[in-house]
Amino acid sequence: MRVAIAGAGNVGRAIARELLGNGHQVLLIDKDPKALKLDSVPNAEWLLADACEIASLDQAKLDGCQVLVAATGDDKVNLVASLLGKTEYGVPRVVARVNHPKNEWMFDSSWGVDVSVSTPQIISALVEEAVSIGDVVRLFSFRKVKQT
Amino acid sequence: MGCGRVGSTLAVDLEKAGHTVAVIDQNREAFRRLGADFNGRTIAGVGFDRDTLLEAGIEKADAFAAVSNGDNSNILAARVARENFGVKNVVARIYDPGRAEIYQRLGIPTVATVLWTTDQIMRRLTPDGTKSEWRDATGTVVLVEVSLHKSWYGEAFSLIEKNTSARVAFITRLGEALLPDEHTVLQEGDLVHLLIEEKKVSAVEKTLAAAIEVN
Repeated sequence: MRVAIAGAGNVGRAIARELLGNGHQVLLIDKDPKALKLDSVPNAEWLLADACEIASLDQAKLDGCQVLVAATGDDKVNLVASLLGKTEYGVPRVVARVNHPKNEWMFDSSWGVDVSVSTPQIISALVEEAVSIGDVVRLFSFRKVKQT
Repeated sequence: MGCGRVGSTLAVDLEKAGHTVAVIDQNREAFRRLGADFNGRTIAGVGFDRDTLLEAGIEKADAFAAVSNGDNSNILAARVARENFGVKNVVARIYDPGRAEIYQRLGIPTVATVLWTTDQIMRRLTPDGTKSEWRDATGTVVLVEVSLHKSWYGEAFSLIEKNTSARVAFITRLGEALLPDEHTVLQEGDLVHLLIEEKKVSAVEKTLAAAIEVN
């Protein structure tokens, strides 16, 4: 499976290593030259580009990717990259990272997001779990998306 | 949303025209650009944040303009205003020409600043080149004035549409503009104004600058 990851920070690189370990092809995209730490994930493809620009996404051959992970530290970028990935390139599965809990409500199918992962929410869920052993705790939910 | 040079000018002009205006900007300092006479509301906050938009009275707004200096912020705010708050009249300023085109397709009217500015500068730098008299907000379709090879004189104007991908908008003849009808025949000295996709301009110019090819 070919996976594109927007944002090569700690989160993006960790996901990349995990996926590569499971035998997938990974493309890491970041617009900051300093973020391109090629040695840290040597088996990934790297692309220095803005994931919100069409020219970059063309270059990334996003239409050939089965999954797009929008994992930058900027919610605006994650939403725009998700929208473009879904509407322009028909990426079947779009996973987006929520940085600020206040923006979480936007991460749904109207922005092309199939699955949103909110770090603050997961952490608060884990804390909840730690203090209330035995209860069922919601970590995150897979959104149901209408098949078109 | 966005109280830079464009946003503040827009807000002041709208107020002068008798509209009620609320301005959103992340930076409170930016509101100084509005001047002392501005009576509208100013809200410091993120333009796509629900609470900020509610505070600005988005629920009662008839129109929303996203003119901050960030393409992503603008498109986020414009879509939230339209999809979540039902504001029908929404426009976003977008620098990146590629994205402007896509958002236009998604139904968000965009003003593609970079294309427009480049075009204006090109027109002043190369006055002999094709003069684009108008371009649509996405920069896809332009209105251009072209001159014809003499072999076109005496032909029906519709031959231009038949032989090229352009539409004839109007003709300037002896200093007067005229809308061609089915009987209009091209004359020497006519300036033809064509509506045309920008990327096809040079191909069409080439066709019209040469003797007519019979298809």
